[in-house]
Amino acid sequence: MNSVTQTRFLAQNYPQLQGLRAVPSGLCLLLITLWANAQRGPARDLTLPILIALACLALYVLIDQYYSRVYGQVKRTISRAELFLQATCAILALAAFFVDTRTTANFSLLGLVLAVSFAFTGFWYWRPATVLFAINLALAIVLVLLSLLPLVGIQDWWSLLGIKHSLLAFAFLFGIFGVIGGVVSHVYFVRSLPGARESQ
Amino acid sequence: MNSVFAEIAALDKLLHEPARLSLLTALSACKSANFLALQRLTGLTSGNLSVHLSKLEEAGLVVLEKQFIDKRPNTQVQITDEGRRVIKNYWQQLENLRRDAQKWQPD
Repeated sequence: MNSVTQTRFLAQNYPQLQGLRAVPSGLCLLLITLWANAQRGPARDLTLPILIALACLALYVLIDQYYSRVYGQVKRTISRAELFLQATCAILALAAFFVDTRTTANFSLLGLVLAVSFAFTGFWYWRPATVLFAINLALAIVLVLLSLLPLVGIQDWWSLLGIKHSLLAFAFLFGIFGVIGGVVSHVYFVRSLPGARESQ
Repeated sequence: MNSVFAEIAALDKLLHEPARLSLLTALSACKSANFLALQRLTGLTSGNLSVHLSKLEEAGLVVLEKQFIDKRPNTQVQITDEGRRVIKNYWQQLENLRRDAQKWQPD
C-alpha cells in the first residue's frame, strides 16, 4: 500500500500534479515568442498568434477532459498561508517590476524576486517530490544567473541566443520550463498512483 | 493487560482497516474527491471502494453526494467534521502507541 505521506501528498496536490495542463500554456508562450521574435517592426497581422492561442486553448480543454475521465477530480483545500504566500509573491514581483523600470541598476530585481518565489513555492508545494522541487530550483537558479549576467559585463544575453528582447527571452524560458515541468509532473503523478488492489 | 496492548485494542476498528484508513487520509487532505479519484488514490477496485465508502458513510465520517455530470454518474465524497476529528485522533493514538512501545520493557 502507498505510504500515508504519499497518499496525503497526492490528495493535497492532485490537480496541480496533473502536469500536462501546463503544457498548452508553455507551448503557447514558446510559439508566440518565436512568432514575435521573427517580426520586423510592429506586427500588423495577428492571425497566427490568435490561431496559436486558440489551438492551445483547445488542447487545454482536451487535456482537462482526459484527466477528468481517467483520473477523476479532487477539490483542493487552499489554506490562508498558501493564499498569503501567493499574494506576497505577486506583490513583490510587481514592486520589483516597478523598481526595474525606474532605475538603471545593473541587474534584474524582477528576475531575482521571481527566482526566490520559484524556489520558495517549490519548497512549499513539492518538498516531498524531489524531482518536481528540482525543476523549480533549476528554474530559480537559471533566473538568478540571467538576472546577474549584466554585473559580469554581459548586458544583452538574449541577443546571444538570437532573441530580440529580454521579455521575449524570459517568455521563451518560462515556455520551455512549462512544457518540461508539465511532462515530468505528469510522469511523476502517474507513477505515484497505486495500481488497483483487492481488499477485504 | 499491558497498557500497550490495551492501547492497541482501543484503536478505532473502523479506521484500523488499511483501505478505510487510506481513504480517510486522502479525504482529510482535500476538500472533496470523486469516486474515480479515490479509486486512483487508494488503488482499490470499484466494488471494494463502494463497500468501504458505505461503511464510512454509515459511521458519519464521510458524506456521499450522487449526481449526473454530462449524463454520467458522478459520486462526490467529502469528509465530515467528525471524520476529521476521528482521523486526527487515530494518528495521535498511533503516535502515542509508537512512543509507549519504544519505552516498553519486559518484566
